[in-house]
Amino acid sequence: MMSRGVEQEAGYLALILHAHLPFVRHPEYPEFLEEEWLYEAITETYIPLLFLFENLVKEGVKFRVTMTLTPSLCEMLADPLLQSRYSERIAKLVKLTTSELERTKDTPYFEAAKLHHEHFIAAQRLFNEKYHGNLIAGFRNLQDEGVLEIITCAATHGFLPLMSNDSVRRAQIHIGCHNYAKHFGRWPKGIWLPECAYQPGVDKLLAEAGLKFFIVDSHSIMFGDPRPRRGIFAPVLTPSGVAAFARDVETSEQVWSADIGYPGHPNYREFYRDIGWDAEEEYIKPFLHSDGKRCNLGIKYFRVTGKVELHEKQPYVPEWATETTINHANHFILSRLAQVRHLKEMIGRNPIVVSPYDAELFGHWWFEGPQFLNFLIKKIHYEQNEISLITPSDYLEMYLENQQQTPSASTWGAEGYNRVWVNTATSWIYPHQHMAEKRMVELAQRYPNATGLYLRALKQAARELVLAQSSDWAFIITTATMVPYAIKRFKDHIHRFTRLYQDITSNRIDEGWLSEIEGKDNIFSEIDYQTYH
Amino acid sequence: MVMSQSSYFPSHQLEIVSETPIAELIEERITKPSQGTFIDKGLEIPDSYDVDTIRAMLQDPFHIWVYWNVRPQVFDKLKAVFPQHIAENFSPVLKVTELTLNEVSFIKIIESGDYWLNVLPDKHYRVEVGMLSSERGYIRLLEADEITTPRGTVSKNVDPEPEYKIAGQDFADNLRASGFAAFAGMLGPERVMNALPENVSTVLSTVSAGESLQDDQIDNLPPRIRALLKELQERGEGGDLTLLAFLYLIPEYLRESVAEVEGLFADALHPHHVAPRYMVGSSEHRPYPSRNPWLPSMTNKAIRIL
Repeated sequence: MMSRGVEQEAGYLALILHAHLPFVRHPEYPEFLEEEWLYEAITETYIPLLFLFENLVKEGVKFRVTMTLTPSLCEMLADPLLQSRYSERIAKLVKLTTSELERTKDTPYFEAAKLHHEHFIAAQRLFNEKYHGNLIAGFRNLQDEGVLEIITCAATHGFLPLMSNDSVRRAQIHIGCHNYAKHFGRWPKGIWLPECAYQPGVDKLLAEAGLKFFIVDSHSIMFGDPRPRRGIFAPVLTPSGVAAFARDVETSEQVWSADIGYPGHPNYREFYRDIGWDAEEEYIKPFLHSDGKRCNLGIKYFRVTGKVELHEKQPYVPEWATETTINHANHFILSRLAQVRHLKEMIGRNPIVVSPYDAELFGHWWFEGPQFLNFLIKKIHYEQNEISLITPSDYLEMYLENQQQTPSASTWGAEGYNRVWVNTATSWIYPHQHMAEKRMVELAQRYPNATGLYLRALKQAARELVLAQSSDWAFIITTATMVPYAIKRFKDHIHRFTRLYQDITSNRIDEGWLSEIEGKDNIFSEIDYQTYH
Repeated sequence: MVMSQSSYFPSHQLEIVSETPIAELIEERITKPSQGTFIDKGLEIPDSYDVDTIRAMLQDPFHIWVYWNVRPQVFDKLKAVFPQHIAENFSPVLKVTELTLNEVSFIKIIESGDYWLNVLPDKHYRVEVGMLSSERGYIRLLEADEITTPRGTVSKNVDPEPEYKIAGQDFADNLRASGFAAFAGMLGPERVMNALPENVSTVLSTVSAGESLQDDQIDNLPPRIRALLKELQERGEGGDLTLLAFLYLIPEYLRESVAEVEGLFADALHPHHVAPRYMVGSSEHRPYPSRNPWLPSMTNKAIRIL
C-alpha cells in the first residue's frame, strides 16, 4: 500500500485492468486465425503494459494497479507452442516493418512506420530475450515488487449465474484459484467475476475459496439492499463477508464511450485502417496467413481525423497523439480531483473511485492507451497529493468497517443483466452445458479414487466442461462476430465431454483418442476432477 | 477482453441490434455463407437427452427463460393411472407461481421445449412442468429452482445502523454522484412523506391503504384539517365522507409542506455523467424472434392458455 495518509488525502483511484482471452490453441493446424487474438494482445497490450510498469518502477514512481490475468490467458501465455508461434509472428512483423521503412521513405507515413518498427523490435527483444517467451514472469515480478495486485478469475471465464448448480460454480472458482497459485506462487486475494456477473449466493462460494473481494457493476450496489450509505465509493460487505467494489460510472464513460471517450480523438491512431487491408496484395501476401486472405497486421498509418469516411482519414502524426494523451491525462486527473473532493464531504470518508477496463482497450483498441496510463500515473505521483493509486485490498486494510449489504444481481454487459449471454440466439447452448455439468458431478461422485487411464479421462472431462462453459462463446454469438468459431468451439467441447462420459461409464476408454484430445485441449494440467464432488 | 477488428468489441460498448432480431441476424450471416466457403460447424452433439429436466434462467428483471424435457413414458405412466376418459383430459402444462402473492398461471406445452416468461421485477417465481385436467386438477412432475427477479431500482430499505442510515436528500445526492440521477426523482414522494409531521404522514398511510380514519388520528391533525373533519363527524357524516374530505384537503396541505422542504425543486444539474443505459430499462419491449435456427428441438411451441 502506498497511501500518503488518510488525513492529507481526498480519496483514492483504483485502476483495474481486466486481461482476458478465451483459450484458443490449435496444434492440429500450422496456423489458425483466432490464435491471432493472443498474438495481437501480446504485441499491442501485454508487452506495452509490461514496458510501462517496468519503466515506472525504474524511475522510482510509486503506484498501485490491479490486474486480472485470467486463468485461460495465463495458460496460453505459458504454453510453449503458442510462445513459439508468437515468436515467429513477431519476427515476421519486424521483417515487414523493416521493409516498410523503405517503402514509406519520404512520405507522410514514415514517422508512423518508424514507430511501429521500433515498437515491434522492442516487443521481440522483451519476449525472446528478457522473458524467454513467458510474459507471466514479468507480471509476477511486478506483483512481487508491490506495484501490481493481480487478481484471479473463474477458470475459463464461465458465466456463474447461468450455470446449473453450485458444485460447478465452485469448481470454476477453485480451478481458477489453484491455477493462479501455480502461476503466481501465492493465493489470490480478489477475483474478477466473469462479465461482473453476480447473483446473491455467489459471494458464499468466493468466501469458501478464501477470497476477500470482487468487482461488480455500479447498479449492483446502488440497487442493493439496504441502500448504500456511500454509494459506489466504498465497498459493501456481502452476507458472506466478502467485499464488493463497484465500477464508477463517470470514469468508465470518459474512457469507454464511443462519443465522449478519449480514444475517439481525431489525433489518435485509426484502428480500422491497417496495411493488412491497404497495401498492395502481392507485397503484403507473404505476411498474411497461407490462405492469402487479408487481415489486420497491427500496422496503421492513419489517425481518426474526425467523422469522415475511411478513405478520407489523414496520416497519423505520433507527436500530436502524444500531446493529446498528455492533455487527456490532465483532464482525467483534474476530473478525479473534483470528484473525490466532492465525494469526501458527501460520504464522510475518503472515497475509492473504482475504474475497471478491459486491459486490451489499452494498446489494442486505443493505441495510445498505455501512453495515457504512463502520463496519468506520473502526474498522480509527481503533481498532486490528494489522490493515491491503490488497490481494493489496500482500501480494505485502511477501512476495516464497511456497510453490510446484499448487492443486486447484475452484470456489466449491455442493459446490466444477463441478456447478452442468454437470448434467443444463445439459449440453445444451455441444455447441453447443463447436462454436461450434471454428468461431471455424477462422474466425480461415482469415481472418487480414479487412477491411471480413468484419472486421465476424468481430468480431461473436467477440462472439456470448463472450456465449454466459457462466457466468450455466448458473447461472440450475441455480437454476431466470429459466430461459426464460437459454435464450433462449444460443440467440440460438448462432443468430447459427452464421449468421455460415455467411455468412462461404459468402461471402454479409447486411449489413442484420449491422448489426442489431451494434446489439443491441454489447459490446466493441475486440474483436480474431485473439485466437482 | 478480446481482440481483433473482426471478432470482438468491448462488452460495455456493445449495442444490441434493436431493429433486427438477433437470431435472424445470425441466421443471415451463418446459414447463407458465400459459395465455396468452408465453415467448420463443430463436432456432432446430441439433439436431446433422454432425461426428464426443467431449468429456469433469469434474463433480466422482466424475463425468465425456461426449458424442459419430459420423456413420453412419464406422461404415459401418469395417464395409465386414470381411466381413459379422465386421462384424455390431462394436458402437459407449465405452472408458473409468483410466490409473494401466490399468483398462478398455466401455459399449455408439449413434452419438450422452451419458453420466455414475462415476469415482474423483485418477485419470486417457481416454474414447474405438470399435467392439468379440468376435472382432476394439477399434478406436478418437475420443478425448477426458484428464481428471484432483480429489483431493477433502488431499495426502499434504509440500513438501521446509525452509521449507514441514509434517506431523503442525502440519498438523492448519493444517487447523483454515483451516476444514477434518474433515480433521484423517485425519492420525491418519499422525501415529502419524511418532511411531513408524523401525525399527517400516518394519516396519509392509512388513507393510501384504503382504511378508515380513527378518531385519535383526526384529533392529531393540524387545526385546519381537523376542524373540517370534526365538523363532518359531528354532523354524523363520518366514514367515507370524512376520508374523502381528507383526500380533498391534503393536496393543499402538501403544497404548503413541500414548499418548506428545502432544495426539493432546486435540482440543479450535476456535472457527473449518467450512463444512458440506466435510463433505457430492460429488454421487456424488445422483440424476440420466434425460432431458433440452431436447435430445432427447442423451438418455441408453447401456447399460453390462461
